[in-house]
Amino acid sequence: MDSDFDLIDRSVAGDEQAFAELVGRYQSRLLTALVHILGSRSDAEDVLQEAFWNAYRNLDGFQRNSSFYTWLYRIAFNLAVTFQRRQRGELSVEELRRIGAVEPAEPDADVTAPLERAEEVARVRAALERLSTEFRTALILRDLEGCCYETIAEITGVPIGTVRSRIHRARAQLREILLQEMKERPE
Amino acid sequence: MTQDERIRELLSAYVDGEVTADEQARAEAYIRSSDEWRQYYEELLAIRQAVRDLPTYSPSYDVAGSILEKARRERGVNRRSSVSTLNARGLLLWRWSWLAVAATAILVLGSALYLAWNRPPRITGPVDSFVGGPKSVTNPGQQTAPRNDGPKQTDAAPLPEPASAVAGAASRQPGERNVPAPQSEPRSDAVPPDRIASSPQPSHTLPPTPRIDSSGPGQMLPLTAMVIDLVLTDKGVTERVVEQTWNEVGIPTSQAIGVDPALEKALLGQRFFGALGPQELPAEEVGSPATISYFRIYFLVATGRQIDAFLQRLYDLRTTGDVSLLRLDLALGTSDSALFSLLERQSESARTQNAAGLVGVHPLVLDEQVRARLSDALLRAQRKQNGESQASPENLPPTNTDTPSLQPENLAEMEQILFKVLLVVRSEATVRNAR
Repeated sequence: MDSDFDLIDRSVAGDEQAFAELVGRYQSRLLTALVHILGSRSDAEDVLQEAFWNAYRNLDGFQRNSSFYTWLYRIAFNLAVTFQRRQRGELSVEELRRIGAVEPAEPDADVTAPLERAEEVARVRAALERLSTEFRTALILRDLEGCCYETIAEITGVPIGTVRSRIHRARAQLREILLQEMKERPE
Repeated sequence: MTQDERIRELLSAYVDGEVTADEQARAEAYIRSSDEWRQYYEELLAIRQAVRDLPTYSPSYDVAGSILEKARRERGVNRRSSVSTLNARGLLLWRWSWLAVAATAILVLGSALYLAWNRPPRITGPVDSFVGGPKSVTNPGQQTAPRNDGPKQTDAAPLPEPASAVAGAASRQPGERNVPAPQSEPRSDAVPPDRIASSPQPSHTLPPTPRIDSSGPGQMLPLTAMVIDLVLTDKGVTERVVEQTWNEVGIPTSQAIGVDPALEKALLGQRFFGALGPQELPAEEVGSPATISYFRIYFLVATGRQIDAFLQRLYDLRTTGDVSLLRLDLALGTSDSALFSLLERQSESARTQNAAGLVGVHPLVLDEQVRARLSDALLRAQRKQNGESQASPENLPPTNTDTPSLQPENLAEMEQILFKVLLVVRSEATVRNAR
């Protein structure tokens, strides 16, 4: 299998198939992370396309100081942050908290999963939505993407100590939210 | 941070295996010695598993195919486009088609540069007197610092650079020139008395506008400028999407100049945007007509990359209902605008510098022939201004033979070069009422 850098070289040289392969390697992983960061599949797909488009247009400027994966995620993360800022005025976390609901990431997701599993996923997703974007992003990159702290720091542009703190605080808040939700759940 | 908080953070990092040997020993000691910490550790494991169990997704469309199709269309559009207007009502215009629009505008305006440059400017007053605000809105002056909280970029990612990078590149350069400064602070929001008397009152109270400070110096390319004509919906006006957008891409407001909106009819209405009327706007929705009368002109100074990002975001704002219409044009040595006066002043102050260093072409001018024509036109105008040659087409240097390449060669160069953008922001109501 060609390495990412080989595919980049071929893409820059005009090999469309190489770029398609590069996209294929990361599109699902990146989309999954974006869905959980943005809370909306349609928004995530928009950002996904924009991220790959930006990457495509700038492949020849990619200095390879990091992996393609990290570079791509950095692009996507920045786009997601910009998107979130734009959306912030429309529906804040406080508003979500007030109305007690979140937009489902995918309305018809998990329709075949057992009900309990679907409910659990919905609970975790709702709890994630109540975290700040920074905390949620750090947690998604760590637990869902399996990124090490150093990579997360590179993607999000903050020191490793901040990554560690954000992940800790994200988990602590998530724990509190889920515990509270369990207490309030009818027997 | 309390001791308990420190232990929780340690246990979180321990769950991730992101601890030193010493920290690992401490974490395991806490877990062994305390039921409370063992329970917390187990809860952390459960939370991690819950996040890991979240569903995964696959794109619902062919991502690579759509990207590659975009790229093919971009190449094709740049070769053949003759469109000069981006209309929000249109079908799904490709968001980057503005590149082709600008290239087309360059073809037309670049060829007319020579004549335009030779005409004496009708407006000769100092540029720093052209400071004003919206024609029908009074806002208190307010400083808004450029947003600079974006992530650090360590590779050539196609993303907005921190504002400080622009400011750093722009300041303290040898031979630097200052953008003329306003004479008093609140003037960017001042409304000329005649405008107050003649303008309709707004039906909405608008949020305050950032005070525009023109004190930012920088390396200027006095002959390259772009005009962005932007029509906002009421939503776009009230949410101040333009200011937010230029902050997002890191264009510091210290490098923007408010221009007197009283110039509207004399400069832009006639020369640049005379053809733009209500008929080009989206049809009004029944029951919710555009009501906010709003008009502003800004003169932004930014790097090529920032301009790219700025335009891309503005174009995206069409889909969020903030922008009705976005049109691009070039302003190259026009004789009847404040823009020209400003450029002339900058050229005057930079006369001692190498002419080639003062002329540049925005990289959106992708077409080689267009680029060469524009480069030559710009250089000829510069030489004419410096008295180095007779500015007639016959004795100008031939294209691409004895003239240096003026096209910035790469993004690194683009980071060092500042371009000027005349940004005209109007509301739908303003456009409709202008006719």
